[in-house]
Amino acid sequence: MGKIKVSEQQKYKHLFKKRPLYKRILSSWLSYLFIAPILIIFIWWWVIPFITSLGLSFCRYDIFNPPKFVGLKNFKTVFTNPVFWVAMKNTAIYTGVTVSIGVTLSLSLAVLLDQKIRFRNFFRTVYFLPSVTSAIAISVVWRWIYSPNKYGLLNYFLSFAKIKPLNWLGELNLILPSVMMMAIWGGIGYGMVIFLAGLQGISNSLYEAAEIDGANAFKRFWHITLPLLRPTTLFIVVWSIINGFQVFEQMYIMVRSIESIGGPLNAGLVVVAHLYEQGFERLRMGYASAVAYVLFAVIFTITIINFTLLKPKD
Amino acid sequence: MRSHIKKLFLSIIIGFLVIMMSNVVAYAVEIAFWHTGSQDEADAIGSVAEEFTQKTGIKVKVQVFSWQESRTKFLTAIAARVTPDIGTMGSTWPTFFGLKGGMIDLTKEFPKETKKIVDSTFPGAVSEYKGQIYGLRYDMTTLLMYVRLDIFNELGLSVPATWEDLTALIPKLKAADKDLVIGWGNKEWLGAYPFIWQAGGSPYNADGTKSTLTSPEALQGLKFFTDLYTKYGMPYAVLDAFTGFVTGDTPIIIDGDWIGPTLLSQAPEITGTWVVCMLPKGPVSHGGLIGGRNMGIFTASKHKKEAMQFLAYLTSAKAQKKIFDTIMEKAGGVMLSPNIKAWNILGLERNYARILKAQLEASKSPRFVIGGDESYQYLNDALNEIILKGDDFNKAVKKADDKTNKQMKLAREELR
Repeated sequence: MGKIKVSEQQKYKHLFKKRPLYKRILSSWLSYLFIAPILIIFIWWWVIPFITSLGLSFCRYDIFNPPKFVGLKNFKTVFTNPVFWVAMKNTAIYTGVTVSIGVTLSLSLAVLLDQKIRFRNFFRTVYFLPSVTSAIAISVVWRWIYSPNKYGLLNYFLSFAKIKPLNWLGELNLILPSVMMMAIWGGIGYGMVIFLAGLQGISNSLYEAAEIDGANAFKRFWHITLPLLRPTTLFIVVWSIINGFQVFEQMYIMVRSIESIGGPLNAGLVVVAHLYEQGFERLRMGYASAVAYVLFAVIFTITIINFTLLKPKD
Repeated sequence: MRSHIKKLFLSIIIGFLVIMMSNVVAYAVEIAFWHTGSQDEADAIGSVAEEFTQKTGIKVKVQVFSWQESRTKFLTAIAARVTPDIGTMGSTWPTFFGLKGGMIDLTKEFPKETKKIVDSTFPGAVSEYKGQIYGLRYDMTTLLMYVRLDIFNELGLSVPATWEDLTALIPKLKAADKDLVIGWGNKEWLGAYPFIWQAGGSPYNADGTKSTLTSPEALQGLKFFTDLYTKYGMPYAVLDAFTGFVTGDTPIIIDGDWIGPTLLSQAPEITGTWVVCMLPKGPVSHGGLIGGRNMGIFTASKHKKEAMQFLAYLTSAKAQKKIFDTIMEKAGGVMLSPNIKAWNILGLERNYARILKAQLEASKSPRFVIGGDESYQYLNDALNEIILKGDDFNKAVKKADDKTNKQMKLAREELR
């Protein structure tokens, strides 16, 4: 189709003129009717709380008394509170370790289970099972696996190697690795399925051509599989990082002690647990909202960086 | 024929309306009761409520919430003014909710009824704040010491009665590859408080405005508690003391009163080999901790009078006996009644009841103080720093003391 000259554009200007918004909506009323339910839910349960929470982050609010505007005080408290930084450090370590190991294992499993091996579907199902199980149910079972003394399942197996029983969820330096181990185990299935879907989209002819050119298995993986899986990897990394920063249930069930949500000396305290404790147990809704917005800013920034670094090249 | 059908139809409608009206008349008032705990306990309360309804015509609807969700549930209900009429909850919550305007001061609104209930309650279980009472005791829990006599006899050990006996016992147990463990309150404030009390100390000053963790008595109690771990090697990695007690690995444990009945029902093979004892005596007393739940009436309740009527009924010796029996029968557990008179009819084994009563009389319930919620965590942090990290005892306790004082001051300012 040829380009329309400028003079002709002027001549047919009325045809290019946008119709008013209400007319456009009325002409597609049926489409808008279909999206209305989800739009209403989205606005009611997401947009309004999002804006309200932003407003609350500038207030002191204990749910009993009306909110009182305090300016940036809550944000200042967040940045000067050492407990917040402990939570942020733990969350960053948790996310860094679970995402890097989790994505690597998911990809390795996907590549392995993409081969023509016996019981392939059985293994795929087994690895995916934890992903469809409730995080709370998984955490309860793992608490039992991690039980201290000689009564825990893991300690029982370690005893065969003459290793003394470990206090998995009680020792300061073991709490976070223990929960991370469980999270990696529980998360690899989902990543594996997405990677498997990505692998189906890579044409066999590319591998055949590379093989004829003398490329070995590693080179085929490095120069064909990895680059072509870039969009899939981007999705999994972004999704895993967001989930990692928002981790809560596992930590809550696994490390919560009687009076501390983050376990002994906050060794397992993560940002969302800190937010929950401050908001819903200590009734510092303003402070909790400020924490939520700081977390949002962190996730948003990391996501932008990920998109920039991992964006598929043309 | 048609007129017969008409008459029949009309009589059905009238009959239906009469039944409906009778229900409305009979249950003109329905009070909502939110219980923090288990379904078995809620069922037990429900059975008492049925009797109450028959006698008074006031219907009681019991709903149960787990410990994890109940505090948030109560808080949001108070904020939205959609509370139940009565709620059972953690022992310090009613005062906190009361000071926020969510619950009523029972001494002010129902002085006579409240006094009657308080007079029949174990003194250590009465939660009073500056003469006000926002919550009446629903049940009690306490710490006791359990000893496997068969193993003790075999090893030639005797049951410890004092702190000195306790510290002398641990090396002997260790030599036999056995341990002493604290099940309830293991390296936490809950386990440390009794030692503070046993030494004659207190976590707060008399008017609840200042932490007294650094008083000589409190320091003595805390030092003894932490020394059990750091100096004498008492294990802090505890799955549950119950299992170790049954297997004999930990033939002496300090744990909740519920362990006794649980041992009888779940470990009958060791029945007759163990005894229950009071906590070892410190420099001043056998002081222990009284836990459990309080219950109170919400400000937003439209049926406060009826709610108080039900509270009076529920705390009576007869109702307490019914709850005790129902829970024992359904769950195999014990709900310790705070009603002193009820103890004569509960049917507890005589020796067990005697020791339990003596321990309860020597015990206290943690007091409500403004800003006290965080203080538990500060003390826990100090205990963990000393026990897990090996930090300096005095510095760690001083840090907890300073933080508590700062928090209490801040909370008082926020409340103004």
